[in-house]
Amino acid sequence: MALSRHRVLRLVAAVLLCGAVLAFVWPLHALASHFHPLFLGVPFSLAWIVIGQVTVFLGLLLMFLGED
Amino acid sequence: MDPSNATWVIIAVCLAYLLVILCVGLWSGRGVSRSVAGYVAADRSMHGVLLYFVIGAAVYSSFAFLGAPGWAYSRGAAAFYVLAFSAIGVIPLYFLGPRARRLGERHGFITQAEMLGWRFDSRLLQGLLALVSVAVFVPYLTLQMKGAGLILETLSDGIIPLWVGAFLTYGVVVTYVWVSGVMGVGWTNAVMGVLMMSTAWFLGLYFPITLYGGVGPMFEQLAASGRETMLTAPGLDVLGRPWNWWEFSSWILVSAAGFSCWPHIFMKCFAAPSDRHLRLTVVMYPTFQFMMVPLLFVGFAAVLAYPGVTPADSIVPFMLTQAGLPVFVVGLAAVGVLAASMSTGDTLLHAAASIGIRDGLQALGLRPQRDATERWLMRLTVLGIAAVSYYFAISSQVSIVALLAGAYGGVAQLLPPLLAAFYWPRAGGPAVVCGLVGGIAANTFFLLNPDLRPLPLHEGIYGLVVNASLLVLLSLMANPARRAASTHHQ
Repeated sequence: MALSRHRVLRLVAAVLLCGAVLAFVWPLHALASHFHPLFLGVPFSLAWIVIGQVTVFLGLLLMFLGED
Repeated sequence: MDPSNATWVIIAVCLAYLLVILCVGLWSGRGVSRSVAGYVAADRSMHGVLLYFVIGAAVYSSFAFLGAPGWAYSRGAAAFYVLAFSAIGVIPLYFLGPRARRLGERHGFITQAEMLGWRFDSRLLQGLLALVSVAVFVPYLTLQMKGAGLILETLSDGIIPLWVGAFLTYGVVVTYVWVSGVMGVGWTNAVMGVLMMSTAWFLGLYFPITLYGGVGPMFEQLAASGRETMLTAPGLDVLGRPWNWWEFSSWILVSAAGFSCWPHIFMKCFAAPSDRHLRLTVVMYPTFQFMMVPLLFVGFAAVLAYPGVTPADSIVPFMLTQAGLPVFVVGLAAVGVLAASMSTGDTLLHAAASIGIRDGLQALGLRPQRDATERWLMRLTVLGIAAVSYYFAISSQVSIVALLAGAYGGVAQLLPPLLAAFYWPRAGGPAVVCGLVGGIAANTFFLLNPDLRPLPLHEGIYGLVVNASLLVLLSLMANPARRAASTHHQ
């Protein structure tokens, strides 16, 4: 059975939100904990967190768009 | 401009700010009914923009402007945990909030404890939650009052002592919370939220640019000075040694678990007019929290420019008073800190009074028959709680920060009952009460005895394990009749 557009959006959102949670803690976070490369002038370790924040925002937005 | 003139300009800016906030707060309560639902939940009509600022500004207290830069200054990347937990902490609210809102609309709930007490058929639970909420809110509020008083005392060169500064700022807060209730909180938080975000971005870019020539050069100079370890997670511990991933990760998870559960945040779900408004507010919320990034820049900017300042939390007042900054920068920073303190303090004050009267009296079977009486009692409680907090702020030497540190792990213990309330019909009231008491006890025990922790995890993790285990086991063991009674609400 084909997935509806709403379900696909919610599925992608769930993956993004779970991914963001995992990205903030060990061991995934440890893989990104480096000073280089600088990203828009900030250490990559800080950029990783900011990218995680943006991912949560996108995840919540997709979840919202996927509501019936 | 000589220093005395500069001081008077700063005082004038702060007083003008307080006057504007007072006017906005008094004006904003006109559009809602003079009932308890109007006073506490804005007649369930608070639109998305106000909700966005109420939730955002309530979360970011004076800690955001004083404590977080202090962490970046002394512990480097350890401060990233603040960014991480606030990002993921809002996720549960997206799922729990609309469910709570619908129940509130159907049954007239205005507080989290009232809803949980009904769901689990337990007045004991409702009373327990009311007691814990007020007990946690008072030191939290005291901290905000102290923060406001201290910043005014420091920046006015002692012309406004702490007790006068705290009295002035919280005199304004009490007045608009008394008159306008949650709408006063909402509109003032909208103004203060804009001020906080503007101030945070301005200061966060001003210091790196003036001291180093930009954000990139600042981090490059920090790394070149041999401080690369403090620029990558998990940063440093309190003694300046590399922190460990156990604590860094568990601090993020526990703080995130508690984020949506704070009673003064959660009860704002009952003020939303629709699920759509509430969900949209949660979706937009991460845009508010980006302001924490520049605030960390302020702390990093001070590492090479102003070494050796102790305690680290005083780095922002130090930079504002000792660095010979233009008076408008100091005035702007003062307003930002006052806004951060007041926007959290007003929500706490309003929530403590609402929960204390609605849940405290209901649990004791003493809830007033007349709506007007209950509203008046809430207003009087606003005054009483403000007076008690003010007393502690100006006279107590108790380590409030230590009390508050324990509170975060304690608040996280509300997550299992909230999840069970909406997603597990079999969960029963006695099991929830036992889980909550067990979780708070385990959290407090390991907070007081950190050396006994099996692993160096945040004490809240142990509390959550005990809490969830008791909740599940005792619910499964409960007799079928009790289970049936507990599920008929679903």
